[in-house]
Amino acid sequence: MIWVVWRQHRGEGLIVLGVLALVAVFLVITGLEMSQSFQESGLGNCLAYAPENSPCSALQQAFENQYGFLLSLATFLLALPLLLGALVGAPLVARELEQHTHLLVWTQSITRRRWLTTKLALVLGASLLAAGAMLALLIWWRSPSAQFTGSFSNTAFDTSGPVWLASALLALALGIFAGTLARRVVFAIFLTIALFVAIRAPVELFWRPNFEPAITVTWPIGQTGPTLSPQDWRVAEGFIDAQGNKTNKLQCSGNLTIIQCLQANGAQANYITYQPGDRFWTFQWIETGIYLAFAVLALGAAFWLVRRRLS
Amino acid sequence: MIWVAWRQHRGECLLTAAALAALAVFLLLTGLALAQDAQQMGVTGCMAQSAADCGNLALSFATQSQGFNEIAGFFPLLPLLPGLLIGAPLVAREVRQRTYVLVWTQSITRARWLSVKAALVFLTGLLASMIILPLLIWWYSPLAQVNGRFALAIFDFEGPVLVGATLLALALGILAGALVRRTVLAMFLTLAFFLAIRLPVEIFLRPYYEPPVVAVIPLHQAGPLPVSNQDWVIGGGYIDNQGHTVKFPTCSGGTDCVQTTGLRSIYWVYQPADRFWTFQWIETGMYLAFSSLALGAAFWLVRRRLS
Repeated sequence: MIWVVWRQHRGEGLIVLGVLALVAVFLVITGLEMSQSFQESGLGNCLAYAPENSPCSALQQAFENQYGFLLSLATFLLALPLLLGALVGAPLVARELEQHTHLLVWTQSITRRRWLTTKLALVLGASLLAAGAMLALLIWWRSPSAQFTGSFSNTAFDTSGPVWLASALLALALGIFAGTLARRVVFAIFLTIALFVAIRAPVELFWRPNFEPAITVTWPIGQTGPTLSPQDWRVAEGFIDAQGNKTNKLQCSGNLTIIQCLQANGAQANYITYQPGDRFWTFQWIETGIYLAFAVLALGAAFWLVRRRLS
Repeated sequence: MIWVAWRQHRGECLLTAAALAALAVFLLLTGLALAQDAQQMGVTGCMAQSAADCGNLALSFATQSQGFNEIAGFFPLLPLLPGLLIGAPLVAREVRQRTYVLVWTQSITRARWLSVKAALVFLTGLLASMIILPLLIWWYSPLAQVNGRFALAIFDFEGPVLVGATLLALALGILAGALVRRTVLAMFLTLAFFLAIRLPVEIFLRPYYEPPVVAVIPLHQAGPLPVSNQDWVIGGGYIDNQGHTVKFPTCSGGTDCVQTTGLRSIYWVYQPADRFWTFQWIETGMYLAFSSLALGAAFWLVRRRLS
């Protein structure tokens, strides 16, 4: 059975390896250049000795100007788990069904459950290894900029910890489930993309800021606020109006400065809501757990469909 | 032939319409919220008057809407979806399921068969991208005031480049299907072709469609910057006292090291905002040219090579 699975998936496996190798080459080349600039320009030393970063801000700005677009290209890396799920996970069962080879495979001495388990174990295992290697590379790549932009921002969070592995597993599980549901490869790919986006987008945008109650700090108008470290995640900021509600809706007219405008709007104090940087790992594990729970559900449904429903 | 093509692709066309509708609903709901936020925070009004003084408001709004910027980063991949799901299976599925043996022994020539199919698919892609484009532009407009439209990924959905990229993805999909003849492999190949064309164009060619402008100001001069947030900054750095350009000031710790290392002025290399539409049309033209090449190659493959 193991040989059969290898034989069926070796083409895809090699292509995925090829894609990962290309991405790895890109990351290694650009990452080496970034760390070299980071050290040579003295930004590394500056941040190490004065992490409150006001003397380092000019250097930081220069670094960001130079490498800002590279770091924003990293957003597209978030699509890699989805690609894995759509192009490896979705055809896993769907291709057998579409080409009717399931009539042969499921009338062998191996039970359907054992067949699916072996396929799953090998494909998921190989994907986990590949994703783990990629994760190590991504963390190394991001380490210079993470010192002053932090790892908590949206893109960085997704590529800096176990959430990366969990989203790869989720995409594969959703792909396999979509394949058993749709029974046609192209439709299954489409369904995988839809399901993945429908789960990940709300979790990332709406649930993640609230895994633990965020900390809110207020300070009077005209004074400087608290200094947040770059490892903290700013969720919202604004001011507290006369009724005591948090808001950032201002009606500013004319040539008022910010302070005059705030006073004209009846503001009592400024506020900032943030998640402190030391909660980073807690949040990573919470989100990993959420994605793993969805993956288990999807795989369970796939097993049920293969055993009970499909002829 | 038109009825046959419609009958074969109607499932995909309906799916595309449904996906488009879902995306439109999402954009409408979130876009209204975003615009309302921007209005009430005074960002819109402030930007209309004098963009340079809006620093705090713009920063607060940017923090609030970081999730939206994240989403916007994926919109350049939207053109890929029709290419992968409609373009790649166009020829590949026929060959894979061997229905081409029936289709290509009819009285219709292969060229005519492919042109009707391709025309139908391209028409769908054209309509879909032209419908979603104004919606995307409207959705991003509050953020465009703060971030500009010229930035790397934003440029891809703020004008006809989106339509050009959709047609490119479809053409590459059809070519990949004719080349490889296995559906999933054709999808991988479409993705590879698409990235191989778009990434170099976007990163290496786009900054230089027209010669960029260089602006230099002395280091500690106060006042407005020569570069606004609507311009596209593609490079910059410092100029030292000998007139050499320096990417980074070298510092050895300590405070405010920029002053102490003999630097004289700052310079920016940028594309001014008024060149936005010129660049859009240049890039659209490039993608259309690539699409024609890909389609031509696909036609040649279908007529000559495949049995």
